[in-house]
Amino acid sequence: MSQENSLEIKNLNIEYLTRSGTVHAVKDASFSVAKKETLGIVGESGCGKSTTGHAILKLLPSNARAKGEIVYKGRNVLTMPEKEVRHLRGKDISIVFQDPMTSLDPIMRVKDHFLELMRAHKPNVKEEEVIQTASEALEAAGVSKKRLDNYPFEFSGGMRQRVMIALGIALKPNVIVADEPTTSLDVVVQEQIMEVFRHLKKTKDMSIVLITHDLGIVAELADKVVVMYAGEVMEYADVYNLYKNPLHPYTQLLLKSVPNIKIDDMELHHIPGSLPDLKNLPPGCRFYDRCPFAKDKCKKEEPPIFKVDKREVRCWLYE
Amino acid sequence: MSKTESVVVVNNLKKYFPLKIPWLEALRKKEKPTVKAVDNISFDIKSNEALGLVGESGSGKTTVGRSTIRLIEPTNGSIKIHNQDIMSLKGESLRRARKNFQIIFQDPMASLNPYMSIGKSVMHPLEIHNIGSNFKERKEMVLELFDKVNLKPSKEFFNRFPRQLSGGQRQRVVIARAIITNPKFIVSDEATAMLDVSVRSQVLKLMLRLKDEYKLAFLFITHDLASAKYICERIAVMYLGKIVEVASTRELFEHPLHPYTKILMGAIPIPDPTIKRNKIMPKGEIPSPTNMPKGCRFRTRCPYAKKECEDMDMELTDMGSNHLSACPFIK
Repeated sequence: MSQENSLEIKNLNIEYLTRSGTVHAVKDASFSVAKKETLGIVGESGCGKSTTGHAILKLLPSNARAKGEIVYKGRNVLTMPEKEVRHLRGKDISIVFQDPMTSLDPIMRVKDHFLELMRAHKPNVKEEEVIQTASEALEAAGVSKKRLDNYPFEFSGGMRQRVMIALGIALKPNVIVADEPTTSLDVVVQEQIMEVFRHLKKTKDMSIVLITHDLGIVAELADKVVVMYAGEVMEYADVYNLYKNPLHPYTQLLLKSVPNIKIDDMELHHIPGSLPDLKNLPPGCRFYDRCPFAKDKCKKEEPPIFKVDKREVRCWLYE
Repeated sequence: MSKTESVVVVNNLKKYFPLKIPWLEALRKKEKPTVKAVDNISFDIKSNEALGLVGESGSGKTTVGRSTIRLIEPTNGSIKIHNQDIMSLKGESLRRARKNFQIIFQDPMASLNPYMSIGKSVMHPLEIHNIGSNFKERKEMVLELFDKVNLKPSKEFFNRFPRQLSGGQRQRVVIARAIITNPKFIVSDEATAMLDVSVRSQVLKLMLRLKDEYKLAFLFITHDLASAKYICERIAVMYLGKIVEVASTRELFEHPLHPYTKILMGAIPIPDPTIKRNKIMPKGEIPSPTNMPKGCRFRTRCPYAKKECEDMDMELTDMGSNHLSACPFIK
C-alpha cells in the first residue's frame, strides 16, 4: 500500500446499544485510503458499510459506541472533541448521502446551502466568494450556475444529487465519503452521476470512499475494494484482482449472483440462508452458516485476517 | 407470430391521467390536459414466455402492468387474456377472471397483511375463487406450494407472520400467493428491486422455474436490464409512454437499434473492471410527461437527433426478424 494515505482506519469497532441488546455493527475493520484513490466499500444491507462511512465523519447516532482509530492527518477522529470535528466536516472530509431530497433543506435555495457550509468554516465570508466557489463546484458536478437561486424542489433527483456532490466538493476536501450516491436514481442518471465521479477522480486531488451495494459500480469506479459481511471486512484487495480471482467464499458467491449483461446464458448462483443476528453472533466465522467450504474450525474459531500476496482475506482457507 | 397462441394480447392500450388545472382555465380550454402515461401500446405474450418491460422511472411501465390487468382503468384499448376480453368484464365477472392473472409487487412487506399468517395469506385467493372444498384441502395445496417455492419446512412456515421472515422469503410468499390460483398470466412489477444481490438471484431463479412449470405468460417489469436479460425471451424498451423497441433478448443485446436502448445498455454498470466501454450519454434528463416534445419523444435527449425527428410519430416498424424499433433512421 502506498505511503501517502489520506485516511487510515485501524481496528474499528462499532456497537449500537439498543433496548433489545447490543448490535455488533462493525468489528475490527482496518483499511486505508491513499491520496487520489477511490476505495469501494461493498456489501449487502446490514453489513455495516454505511455505519463505517458515517464513523469517518463521526456522524454516528448517540447510542453508538465506536472504538479503534480513524486516522486523518495523524489524528484520531474518534477521540477528537466535537468542536474540532466540525472543522473537519465539509472542509477536510465531506459526505454525500444516498437520498438527496432529505439531505437538502427544502426551504433553502441552493446558494444558501453553500452559504451555510462556508460560514461554518469562515464566519465572515463574503457573498461574492460564496457565489464564486459555488459556481465552480456546481460546474464540476454538471449543474449550471444559473440555478444557484433555485430551491431543491425545482430539481430532479439526479440534479439534486449533483448539487449534493457540489456541496461535498465545494471546499476542496481531501476525502469525500459517498454513501450509496446513486441508489435512488435511474440507470441513465446513475451513469451521469458516475461520470461526475470519474471526472472528479481525474481532475481533483481527492480520495473517494464509495459505499455501495452494487458490484457493477465498484467495478467501474473503485481502485481498491473492501468487501464487508455482517460487520466484518471479509476481503480487501485491488479491484482487478478481486473480480478476477476472489478469495473469500462470500466474495466468490456474491460475484456469481450478479446478472451480467455481457455474459450470455449466465448461470446465476445465490447464497442460501441469511445474515446472522448481529445481536447474538455465533462464536466462529460470521459466514459459517452460508459457506459451502465451512469446516469444523470455522464454527468454533473466528478467522483472523490472512495476508495473501498483498491482499487481505478473513477466512481459514488461507491459513 | 400468430396471435392465436398468445395468452396475452394487448392492442392500442392507452392510459391518460387527467391533470388538475384551475377551473377557470378548464372552462376555457376545450381539450382537458392529460398526462399520457401510456400512449398506444400493443404487445402480446405467449405461454411460457417472459416479456421484459424496461425503462426509467416515469416511462409508464408500471402503468402498463397495472392497466393490463385492470388494477387501474385503461383509457382505451383492447386486452385479451386467455381468450377472454378483459375490457368488457365488470364487477363479479372481472373478479372471477382475476384467477387467471395475478401480480407481484415490489415491496413484499406492503403486499402482505402483517396480522395474517403467511399460510392464511396464501390460502386467501383459494377461498375467494372457491378452489378446493375445505380448509384441509386448501391447506394441503398451500403446503405443497410452499415446498415448491422453498419455504421449508412448509408446516412450520404456514403459521409464521411476515415480520418473522427475511425479505427474500417474504417475496417468495408473495410469489406463492400469485401462483396458487394457477394463473395463465403474471405481472411482476419490480419484484426483485428491493432485494439484496445474494437473495435477488434466488428469486429470479424461482420465477424462471415457475414460469416453465406452469407455462406462464410473464410480464417482467424492471429497470434492471441485466435481470430482464436473465429472465426474458423478449424485451420491450419503454420511454415516456411509448414502446421504442421490441426484440428477442439476444437480438436486442447484440444489435440494439433505438438510440435510447443503446444509451440504456451503456449505462448499466458491469461487474467486471476489465471491461471499458465507449458510452453514449444522453443529453439532459427525461422531459416532463405533461409537456412532451413534439414528434419523437426522445429527440430532446437523442445524440443523433435531426430536423426530421420533430415531425415523425413513434410507430414501431419491423426492421427484420421481428425486431421492432421506433426510430426509422437507424437500421
